[in-house]
Amino acid sequence: MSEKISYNEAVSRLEIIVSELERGGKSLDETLAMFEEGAALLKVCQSELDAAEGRLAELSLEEINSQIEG
Amino acid sequence: MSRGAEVTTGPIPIGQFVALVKSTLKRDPLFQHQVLKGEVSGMKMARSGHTYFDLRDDQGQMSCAIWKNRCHVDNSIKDGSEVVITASIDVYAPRGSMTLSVEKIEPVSTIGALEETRRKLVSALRDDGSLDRTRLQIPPIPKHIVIITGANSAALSDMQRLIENRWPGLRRTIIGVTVQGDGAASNICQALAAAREMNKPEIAKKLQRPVVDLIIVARGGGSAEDLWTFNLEAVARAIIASPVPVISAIGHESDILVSDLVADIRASTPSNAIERCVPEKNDILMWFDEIEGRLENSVLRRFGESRQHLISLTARLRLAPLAGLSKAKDKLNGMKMRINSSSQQMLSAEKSRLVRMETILQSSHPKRVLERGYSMAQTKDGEILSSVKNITSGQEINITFADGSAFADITKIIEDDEK
Repeated sequence: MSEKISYNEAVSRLEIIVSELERGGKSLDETLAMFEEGAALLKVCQSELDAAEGRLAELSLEEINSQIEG
Repeated sequence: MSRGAEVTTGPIPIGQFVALVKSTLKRDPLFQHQVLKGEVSGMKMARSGHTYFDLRDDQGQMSCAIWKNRCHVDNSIKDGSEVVITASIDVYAPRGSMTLSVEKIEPVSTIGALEETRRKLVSALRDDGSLDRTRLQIPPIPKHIVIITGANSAALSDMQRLIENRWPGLRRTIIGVTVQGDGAASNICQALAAAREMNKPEIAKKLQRPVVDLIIVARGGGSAEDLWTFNLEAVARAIIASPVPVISAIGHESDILVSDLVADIRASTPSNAIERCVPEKNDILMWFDEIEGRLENSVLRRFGESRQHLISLTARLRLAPLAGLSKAKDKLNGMKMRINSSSQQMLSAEKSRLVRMETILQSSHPKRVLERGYSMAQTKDGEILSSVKNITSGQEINITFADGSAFADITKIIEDDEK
């Protein structure tokens, strides 16, 4: 994979890979390469999921501004 | 008086008549919960807590009563105010007077003026292209949402609950603001500015959070005046200028505010905003599992096919040398047969040649020659004499005949004339 792929791109590429693999007719080398790409894309998507979770902050306007400036 | 015909005898007591008027007026839906417009005059609040005024225009007037705690009266309403009231008619029998019992009262002038500014703002936004601009896409999985809404509001707790249901622990920063009245607009603009700052990587790094990738501006339902902040140009401009996608979720489904028109997405309610931007985590996890399973299955199947192929190849490979060997054997046999038969032929040919040669040899044996009358001369040492040149006069030679031999002395040598 080159560069940073977006979540949506990763998802649609995954769909393509899976349906192509399911259609069959690929060489073993191609199959393996596509599987590895798929596994890597899944990892990208998973990490996207994990990245969405974190602290919850409830702040007043003054607090947020002092945090930004501080 | 046609109605008078219903009364049997004599004049009707006035009290009865007023009661008749009252019940007739109160029965007619035209006079109940009617929306009326006029100017307030002679407004006064009695010690009882009830408020009285006259509603008038240049055609007429009627006295009105706002019973204590019956409805909210805006502070701005005073004598001379243009108002819209919802009211039902009543008759005060002791005085025979008609009164409008007020259920709702709103200053019409302010609403009208506001409505006019709103119209102007919308057409200005349409003219400068703000309404037609390309809207930002919301991220498929937001990594840091900023929610700008009333601190401790019902809308906020609804949104919080919904987020936790759909995606527990989704990262968010909630900026509590004033959402109505004086200062609300500037409050909201400041919050939007703060959210924009938090979209900068260096600020996000300082706050130790990912950059803000989605903003929700939300407020629960309320009256038109309560929601008016979101019709103000400052708020609209701040939303338009936002580099981060903004969802506007103000009031109820039927409320459409300028902020809704300019936002990247208009949600009908605060809860709807969450439904539209926070995916169900379980759905996504299930999709992952499914894709992972399909990926693995298809590869396993492909490998299975290869394995089968390999097994059959191995089997063929094992049998191949045997097949080759038997082929070689066959070939060898064939060759042997061919060799055999050809050597047989050669042998017999050779044999007949030998026989032939033997015959020739037999026929050319010296003895046969001798039998035909020839004789052979040899020296005493057995050397065959084939020329007169090799003998001398007086030399003893041996002559062999077919049936014996004799010794002779050479007496004379006659050499043939050379030709």
